[in-house]
Formats: sequence, structure tokens, C-alpha cells
Amino acid sequence: MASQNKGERPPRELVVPETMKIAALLAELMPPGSAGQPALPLTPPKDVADEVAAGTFSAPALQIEDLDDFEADAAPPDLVSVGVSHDEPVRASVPPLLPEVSEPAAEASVPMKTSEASNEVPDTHGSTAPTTVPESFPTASELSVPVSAPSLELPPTPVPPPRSDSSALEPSAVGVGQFLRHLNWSNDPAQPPLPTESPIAMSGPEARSTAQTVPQSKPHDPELVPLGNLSLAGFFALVNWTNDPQRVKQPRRADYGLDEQTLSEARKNPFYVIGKPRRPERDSVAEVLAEISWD
Amino acid sequence: MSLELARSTQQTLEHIIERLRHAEVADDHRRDHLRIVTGPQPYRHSYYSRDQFLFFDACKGTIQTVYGQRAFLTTGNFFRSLVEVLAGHGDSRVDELLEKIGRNWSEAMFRDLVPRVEQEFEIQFDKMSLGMVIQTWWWPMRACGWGDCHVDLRHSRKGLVRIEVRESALVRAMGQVGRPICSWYAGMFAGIFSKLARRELSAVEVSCAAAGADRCVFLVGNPARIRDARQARDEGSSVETIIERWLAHRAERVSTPA
Repeated sequence: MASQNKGERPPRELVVPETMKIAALLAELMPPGSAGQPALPLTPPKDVADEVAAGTFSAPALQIEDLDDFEADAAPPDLVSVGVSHDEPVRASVPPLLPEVSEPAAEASVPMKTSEASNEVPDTHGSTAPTTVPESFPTASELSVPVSAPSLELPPTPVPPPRSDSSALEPSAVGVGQFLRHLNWSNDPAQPPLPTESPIAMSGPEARSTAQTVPQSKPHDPELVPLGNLSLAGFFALVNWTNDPQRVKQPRRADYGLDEQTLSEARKNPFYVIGKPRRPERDSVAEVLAEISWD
Repeated sequence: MSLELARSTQQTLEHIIERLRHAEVADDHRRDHLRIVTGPQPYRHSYYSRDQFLFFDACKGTIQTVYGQRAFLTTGNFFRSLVEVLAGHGDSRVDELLEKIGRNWSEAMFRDLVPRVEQEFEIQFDKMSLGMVIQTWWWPMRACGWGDCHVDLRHSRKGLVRIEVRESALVRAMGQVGRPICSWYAGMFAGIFSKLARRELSAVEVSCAAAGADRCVFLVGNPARIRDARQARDEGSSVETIIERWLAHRAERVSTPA
């Protein structure tokens, strides 16, 4: 059927209207599968742009609710709670956003000032994040098609590359190993001290969500230390560091197959392997002398 | 030097229990493995210093070891006198007699060694490490001034045991005499390994500090092989050469079974 239709076409060059060429070019710019969907904006969404521009680990952008709180509080708004990765919020000095605006004027200007206020919040982590569209995203002028262009050959359209680094938007996915590498475990004075603002530090609701997810670690994640419900103090309490003879005796885990008295002590140690066959003794008097051929 | 044996094995055990036992830990049960105990051990093992190993009874004027053995302190004159007396019966028999003294002494010590090890370590004798048994046997000798002993069991499965002794009491007593004189030690090693292996074994000193070496080296093994080693030593072969010949002979026997 298709071949028949192709065969019925007259062998002459079709005249394509200019508007159809523009429509075809716009269709190429649209991602696959989005046919029938409303046209995507040429600029990235506002929330994504704010998140990217503000940085992953900086303070979250102020929202409309924050402005309402500002105005509702009777106290002078010179201290604003900025959430960081600690449980206790850090109080940072922030200049008032709308100090001179009266209440009706503020209400009228809130929808417009919200985005501006998010840009004006000083970054307590020292990284100023302008709310500009990154270079990887094409601007509207770059994506615009010259309608009056007489030629059908258009300049190459920049396409935003795919974001393979999803962890940049998900700070809770930072591994334990990556986190521990930033610490000075060797106590080397030449190594610079741990910065107060770790590059993987989190703030606000992200930190709270991470703190909630850490105890529920994945069972097969090699990056996590399988301490289970054992606290740090409980772990070190198992080892008789001071060699105190009055302390409870701790068996070695390298020995297997012990008597009941020793096994009862071994069961108290979670690092002791019980139930495996005993390590064969190769140097005992009986074993060695049985293998010697004196002749 | 402790030259008197314990009056009986039971007396030895009684002295060990009295002086070395920790009553709150020890249960005196013979296991087939070493008991895992941290902190105070059922029996104290580090007692080989002079003040912990030898006990002076001022009322009786005697010295006893921690095992209850009578001991007396002497100098090199004792060995020199002994050798002079034995030499009166013929020089050729001095080494033989000294070796026999050592063998009989170590065999008598072995009778006390087995129950002492089992009591002290709460383990069956055959289940204990051979190296640890030998060290447990020799450490009282070292505490009494008989020198440091190192047993090399690398070739033991080929029927050869190499033993090195430093600070031999006989060498200190006799000085540089230009020939091997530690046949007493050779007899002790032959006796203890004969008891362990439950067969007749011999030992020979192939290198002696009295002949200019830095240490005394003994070989323990089959009496026939020991005779060959002694002959090679008298011909002037070095210790390494004697051992190489021993191992080569052993390899030939394995490759060409009868």
C-alpha cells in the first residue's frame, strides 16, 4: 500500500511552505515521546534552575512562606535560621529582605519578589550561587529560529547534554567511603584540617532526610559499615584495651572448636565465629612425630 | 645449676599448684586444645627469672627450684673436676660418659615433663605444639644457666633435627680446647627426642664453641646417620655440608625405594 502511494506521487519537487519548515525544525527540538504534549519551555524549569544555580549544598531558596513568617514575626528579623547538616540550626545574620515595605505593598509584591529574595539570601557556606541559567542550557535566543531566513539550512542547534551526574542533585547519595576520605585518619599534621564546610555537607531538609535514612542502611552496600545496632561505645567496650585482668575474658576468633566453657564466653563476642570446623593442628607432638621418618 | 631431680612427679605437681596456680581461673581439666584465656592464666608461665625460679630456704640452707628440685650453685670448677675424674678412666670414654649422663638426665626429666606440661597448660601432651613442648622442657635449664637453645624443626619430617646452643655451660667451664666437648648436651637432646619419638635416637655435636665456632650445633636423628655425621665432622666437614649430605642421602632413599 505504501509502495503504491509512493508510486502514485508525481516526480516533481514539492513546494514546502515556510511555516511547515519552521514546524519541522521545532519538532526536531522537542524530545522524543513528547508529541501531543504541551510545548516545553526553552529555559529550564524554575525549580531546577534555582537548584542548579544555588548549588547542591547551599541554603535553600526562600519561599513565599518564609516571607510570610518574616512579616508575621514581631521580633526584628535580623536573625534567620539557616538549616545545616547539624541537628541544631545555625543562626546567621541576614539583612532584612523587605525592611521598608508596608504590609499591603508587601503582599502585592510577594509574587514578584520571591525569586529575587532567593537570589539575595547570603550564602552561609561561603559559596555565592547566582541564579543564572548555566551555560549548558541553551538560551532562548540560541534556540530561536530565524523566521525570515530564506535558506533551509539552519545553524546547528545546541542540545543540552544529558545530566549523568545525578548525585549532584541528590546529596543523600554520597557514599560513606567518599565521606571518610575527607577525614585525616592518619593524624598527619601536614594534611590540612577538615574544613568546617565539607563539600558534601548538607543543609536543611536534605540533611534531616539523610539522618533519617542512615540507620536504615542497605544490607549489601559495601560502603556502609555493618555495625548494626552496636553502638560505638559498645564496640570498644568489647575490647579489653587496658588489659585489665578484672575484665571479662575475651576469646580469640581465630580458634574454633572450643569447649563449652570457652564457647559460652565466645558467644558474648559478636566477632567470634562459632560453629565452623576446628582449624587442624599441624604442629602438635603427635602430628609432627607421626610424620617423621627417622630411618 | 639444678642437678637434683624432683623426688617424685607428684611432688613436682604439688609445687606447681602451690606456686603457679591461679585458683579463680584454673580448673585442672585436660583439654585437647589450648584454653583461650585472657588476663591471668590458669597457671603462671613466666617464672624463669632467678628470683621466681629459685627459692632459698635459709633455715635448711637449701635451694629449690619452682618444681621442688634441690639445686646448688656452682662454678665451672665442677665441670672441670668432673672431666678430670672421668679422664682418669681413659680419655676416649669421657665424651661417651658425658653423653650418657646427659641422656639419662633428660630421660628422667621427661618423666616429669609430661605431667608438668599437662598440669601447667591444661592440655593433653600429644595435642600440644612440639616446639612449645621443647621450649617448656628447656626453659628451666636456661634459667639455671645451661645456655640458650634453639630447635630447628624445618627438616624434622626428613628425620633431621638441628639444635643450636649458645652460652654452653661446658664451654664456659672448659674454655677453648679446640674440639667439640658438649657431649653432655648431645646426650640430653638424644634422650628427650628418643622419648618423644618413642624410639632410639642419637645426637652429635657437629660444631662447638670450644672449637672456635660462635655457637654449638647439634644434629639429632637416626643412630646410623648420626655416625655418618660424626665421621664427617671428624673429617673436617662443615655443618652445612653435613646437612646437605644428610638430605641428599634422604632424597636418594625416597627416590629409590627398596
